[in-house]
Amino acid sequence: MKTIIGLEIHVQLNTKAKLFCECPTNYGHAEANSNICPICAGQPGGKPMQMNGEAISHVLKIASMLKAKPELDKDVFVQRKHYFYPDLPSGYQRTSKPVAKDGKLNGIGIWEVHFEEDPGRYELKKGFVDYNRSGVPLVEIVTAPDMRSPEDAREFLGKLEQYLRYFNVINETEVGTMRIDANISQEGSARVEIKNINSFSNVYDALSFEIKRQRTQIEQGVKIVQETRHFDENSGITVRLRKKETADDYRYVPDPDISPISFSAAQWKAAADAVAELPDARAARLASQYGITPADAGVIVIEKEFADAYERLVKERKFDAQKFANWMRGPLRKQLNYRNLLFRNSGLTAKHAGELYEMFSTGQVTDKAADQILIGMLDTDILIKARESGAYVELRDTPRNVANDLGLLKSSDSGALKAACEQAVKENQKAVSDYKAGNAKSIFFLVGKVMQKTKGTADAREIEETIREMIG
Amino acid sequence: MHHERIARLLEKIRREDGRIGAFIEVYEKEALAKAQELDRKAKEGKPLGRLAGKAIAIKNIIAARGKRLTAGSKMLENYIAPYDAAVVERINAEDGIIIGSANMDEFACGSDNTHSAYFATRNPLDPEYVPGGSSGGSAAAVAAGFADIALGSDTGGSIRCPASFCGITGIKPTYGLVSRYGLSDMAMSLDQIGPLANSAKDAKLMLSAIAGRDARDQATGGTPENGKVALDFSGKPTIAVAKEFLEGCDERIAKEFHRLSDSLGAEGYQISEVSIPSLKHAIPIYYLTVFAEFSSAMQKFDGLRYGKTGRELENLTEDVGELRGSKLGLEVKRRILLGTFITTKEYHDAWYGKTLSARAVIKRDIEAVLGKYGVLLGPTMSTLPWKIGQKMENPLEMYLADILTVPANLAGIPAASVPFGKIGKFRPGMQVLGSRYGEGKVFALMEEIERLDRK
Amino acid sequence: MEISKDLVRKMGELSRVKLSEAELARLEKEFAELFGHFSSIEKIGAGGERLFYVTGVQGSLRPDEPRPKARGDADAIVENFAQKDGRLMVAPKSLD
Repeated sequence: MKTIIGLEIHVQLNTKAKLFCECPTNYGHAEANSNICPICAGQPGGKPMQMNGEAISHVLKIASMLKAKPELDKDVFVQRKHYFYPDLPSGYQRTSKPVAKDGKLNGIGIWEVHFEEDPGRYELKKGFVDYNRSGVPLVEIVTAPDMRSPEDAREFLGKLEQYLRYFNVINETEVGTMRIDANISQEGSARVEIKNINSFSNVYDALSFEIKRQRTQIEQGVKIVQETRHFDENSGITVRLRKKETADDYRYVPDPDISPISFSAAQWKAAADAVAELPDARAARLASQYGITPADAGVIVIEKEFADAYERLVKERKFDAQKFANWMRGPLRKQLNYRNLLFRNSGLTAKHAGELYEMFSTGQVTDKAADQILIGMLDTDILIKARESGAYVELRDTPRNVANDLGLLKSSDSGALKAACEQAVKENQKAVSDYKAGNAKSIFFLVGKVMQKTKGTADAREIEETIREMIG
Repeated sequence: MHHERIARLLEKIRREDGRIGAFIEVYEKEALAKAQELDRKAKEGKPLGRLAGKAIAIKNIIAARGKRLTAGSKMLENYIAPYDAAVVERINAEDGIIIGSANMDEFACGSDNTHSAYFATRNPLDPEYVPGGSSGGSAAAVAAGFADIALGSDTGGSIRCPASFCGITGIKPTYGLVSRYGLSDMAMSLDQIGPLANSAKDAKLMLSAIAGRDARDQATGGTPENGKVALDFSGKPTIAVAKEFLEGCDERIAKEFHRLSDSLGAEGYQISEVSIPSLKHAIPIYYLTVFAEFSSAMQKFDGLRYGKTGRELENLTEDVGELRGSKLGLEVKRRILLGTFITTKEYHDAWYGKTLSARAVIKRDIEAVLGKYGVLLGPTMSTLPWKIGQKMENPLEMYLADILTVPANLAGIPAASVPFGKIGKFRPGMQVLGSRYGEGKVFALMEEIERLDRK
Repeated sequence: MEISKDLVRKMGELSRVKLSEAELARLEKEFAELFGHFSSIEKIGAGGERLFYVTGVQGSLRPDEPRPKARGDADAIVENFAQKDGRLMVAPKSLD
């Protein structure tokens, strides 16, 4: 039986302010109903401001990366889509006409790309409504029904997510920033819509379940009815949404309070230029141009800024391309991931990364000290606080300053190292005699003591050698 | 001195408004405090704004922070505006004294103020009669001497109709001249805020204070910044009279109009008769537009966000439907349903789509005339005020009464009503329409009509 | 066009406005009369350009600059919620 799947993907765009008002978008980091104003909370008399240009610029970039054809010099209206729901404060959602149509990604057709505003949040079980999210800009991508399996959908969404993340066009500081409606049918049977799946990974589970359900029904001779279902992620099943007899009629009308907008060839060219090199193409180029492994290149192109930093530093500072790649995807990425940070919003810059790697690669600091420096840079009180509120703060301290402050610069004074070793030997005679008696591991105990004394500024191998000379 | 005068006005309102019903709420404390502040500023030799000391009533569809914003409806009985409308900010900045909120037809749906969910406003010229609407409370407040100037909103004549019925002056400015941020919606492509006053001079003073671009109302995108809007014109604008304006007009009003046009001719004004056949369709085009936009604007009133409704809602379809059914007046419900109908998927093209096409034609036709002539002139209303309770409840008849005022809104152009002559107790309004941002010529002719009326 | 009571009722349901039988009967009659009269719009501009925006001014874009409002503004909005739990609005828990 042939399965037919099409997706409608809604993703929050990466902006600081909402689409039609100046309220901040960090809804999850703010107290309930505090990021609201008469415009986004639907107060009588609140009218939309001009659209947020950053949101629109992201939409054009997304349309370009999907190779969709621009609605060039054509008025793009914002329409009102009417329905009653508590999280929709005006009783209608503002949603644009297509900005571009007819694109392709990963072999899957893209029907259209448009933008709209997110509603607030409504917790049906408790009836709680928070309008902080109301008015956050979204892009909606509508695919053709070109997918044939959950695997197809997963692959497509994986690629889409890779692109969106790479170009920094989507909101990654909040949770629940992506929602997907999936249309799925078995050839010859009615189409079922699964609404509001709240993550890309849940799409796979929802589709897998739904295909099984539909096929079982068909095998049992039960007709599939056209309906809307909901995916329950706890139980992993889709359930039918109760439907009122009166079918929805969104009564689309152009919003009289929003002037239509059109995009020039120049605007479209700027968007296309910004996404000219897609991340997979760049990974391939990095691998061949710098001779690094495809796996390393793949990690480096997680974020455009990360890849930019890599290329710039390899060129400017003449770093060993492979070793530097190892360091970026290894120790650096590890500290970022541990804090759930992206390079671009960590506060670290290419300059920081370059300076730190230079200190490490020229032996001024040990690998452990380099970690300590990163931790010291990323975990200042100011930054932790900023992250909690969803804000971005650029780091002021340089790696060298932090290294100095923490006393992490590798001691160039071999006398001090020698003295520390002598002291350790003197204070730990038992370990010395164990070593001499043939317990080779005892030397590491002594090395550890010295490292404690030197606060990690000394290189472990060097300590080991010094002690060996002393007692060997 | 401001304090003394405002105190006197408030006393007058206390004494007389029970008979008129112009105000929903009077802001005694705030008005006296503001007057006192102005007196203190004056004493200290500090400069005062251009509305200094003017007692101003605002239609209760315009938000004033901390004050009830009812829109004349039970649906918003307990809603306290959480912010100031742009025009309220401007009035406060220019030292105007807001003395209270004026009564109106529910959500501006009506043209006689008997559709207020609270009480009907009476005409100060004769309390047996309606004051016109929907800004009837604003007009009555000025005509009764309670306020120097009032703000109203005009979607299809809601400033000009009551100005005409109450014998005062009112102007609906160019669509986009005054920010509507803080004006609860009626029909967004037609709504405009404007002043009602005792003279063209006062109306112009208020308009100069409130006009100007505002980032919070996109319709103002083509308007200069506040303070840079030109409202003056020297010279004699050429005048066109559309013969459609006089078809079906009350003969007494038509007679006063001809007297005016003769006087203007005698003053050397060039007056030409023109015909704009599409005006015949103005009422259907206007009302269909209103229905569609109004039903959209009314979606938000579900009983959840705008004050207590006195009712615990347990579900979102049944209970909200009942709440809307019981809190909204019949005329409001009528318009919501009609608007829903013509924008459903099935009927959108047949009705709303055709309405938009027809609107393009009427706008073009009016613009063509105003491209040749300075202003269009005609009566404001084709009838005199009617007695309260006398008017038909037939919606079509009610809608047809707006025939002369709706074209200006359809075209987005300025239109004013200025009283001329006398018919019994009433002073019929004459309507002056200008091209977009042509307020200068409109005011010039209004002042001329005032001069001729005094003769 | 046929206006029936069912059609009026359906419009009421779509608009979420509950109407009494008397209102339905009255509106049915009025709508028939209104639409009869209003069908004259077909006589002008049929199929021509549709006028959506009066000002003719093209929309422009604003910079992405958040301006958090004074806390009191949001508080005043919250204060108006018909039912609330702390700062959260409480809506019905049933979609029926």
